[in-house]
Amino acid sequence: MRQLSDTDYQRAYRYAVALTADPQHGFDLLHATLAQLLGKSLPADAGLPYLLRALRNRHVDDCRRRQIVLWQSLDDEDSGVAVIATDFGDLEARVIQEDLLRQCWQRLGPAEREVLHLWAVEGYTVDEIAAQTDTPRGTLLARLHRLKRRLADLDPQPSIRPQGVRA
Amino acid sequence: MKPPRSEPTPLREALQRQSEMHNLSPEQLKALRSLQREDAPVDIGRRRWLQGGLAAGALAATASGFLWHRARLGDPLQVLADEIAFNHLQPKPLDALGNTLDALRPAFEPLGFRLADDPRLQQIKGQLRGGRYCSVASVPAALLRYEHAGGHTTVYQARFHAQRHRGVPDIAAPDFEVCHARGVRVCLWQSQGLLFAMAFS
Repeated sequence: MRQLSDTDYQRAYRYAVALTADPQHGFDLLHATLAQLLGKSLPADAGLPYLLRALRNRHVDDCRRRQIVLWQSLDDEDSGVAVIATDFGDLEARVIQEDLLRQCWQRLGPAEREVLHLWAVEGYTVDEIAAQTDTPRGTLLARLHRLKRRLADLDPQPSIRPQGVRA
Repeated sequence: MKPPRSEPTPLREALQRQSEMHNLSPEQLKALRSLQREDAPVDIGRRRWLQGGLAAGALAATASGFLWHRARLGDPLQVLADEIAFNHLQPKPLDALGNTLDALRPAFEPLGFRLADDPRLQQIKGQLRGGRYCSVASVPAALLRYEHAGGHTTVYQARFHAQRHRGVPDIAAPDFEVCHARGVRVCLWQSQGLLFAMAFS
């Protein structure tokens, strides 16, 4: 595995915190994932993207094993949900109070926090997130659609609701 | 009276700021770097150079190395006991829950060894609660926590690494040596190709 820089570690840590919504658990997840990768014959050029993927897989496994979070509910089975074509356009235009975001953050699911993190912090496009998380593009778009509705539900201020979304 | 609300910020910017609030501490970074050093491939040229250098200095090292090592680093067994005791005194969340070794084995398969039973573990009071990934002298290890009314006992198992775990005795069961570190009673031994350690509250 390629030697990671301190910046890589920080980025991986922030991703882990986004998944777990807890700094200590985020560090535990990162530490355990690196320990797990130890000794495996990895591609020589395996770097940060590989680690991020391993972090995600490990977190999903942990959630399922401990049944702390019903991750499967986030794997997006879209029965009854009208999937509309969308992208990050609406989110780009959205504003939010930072203290409200902090309150809402814990109430979002891991997959929702993950999408927001990869979009806002890592600067990924929909296609890049789909590739990174092994999620079909249609599933990801449906997740985005629900995420926007969820943000609107969590936010009691009418002024920051996205246009066209009913509360 | 409601507290004043912050000004609306673009969602992307608010998410970035929130994420940037989380930074690894220097100690955490050091721990992660040490993990990866363990995994780093050995440069063959550098290794040959080192072997040559080591051969040339072997006699001198033999003459003075032992005393220097003892003076500089202390007793290796005591260094290990200190690390074991430190981790024992700071219990962290368990990665896997289970009341038997059988139940916990699948969770620790990625470590590359099988959690083993040992007659000396029978001396532990209390009930096994679960395990957590950790390391002993930078070697990946499983931490098993037993809880009882008066506190808890921590057991560590790792692949025995002759260099990093030097000084750990190979004593036939049921005997083991006891040392003390940070006010904690610690027992270390090697068996079945594994390093075992116990720390008692």
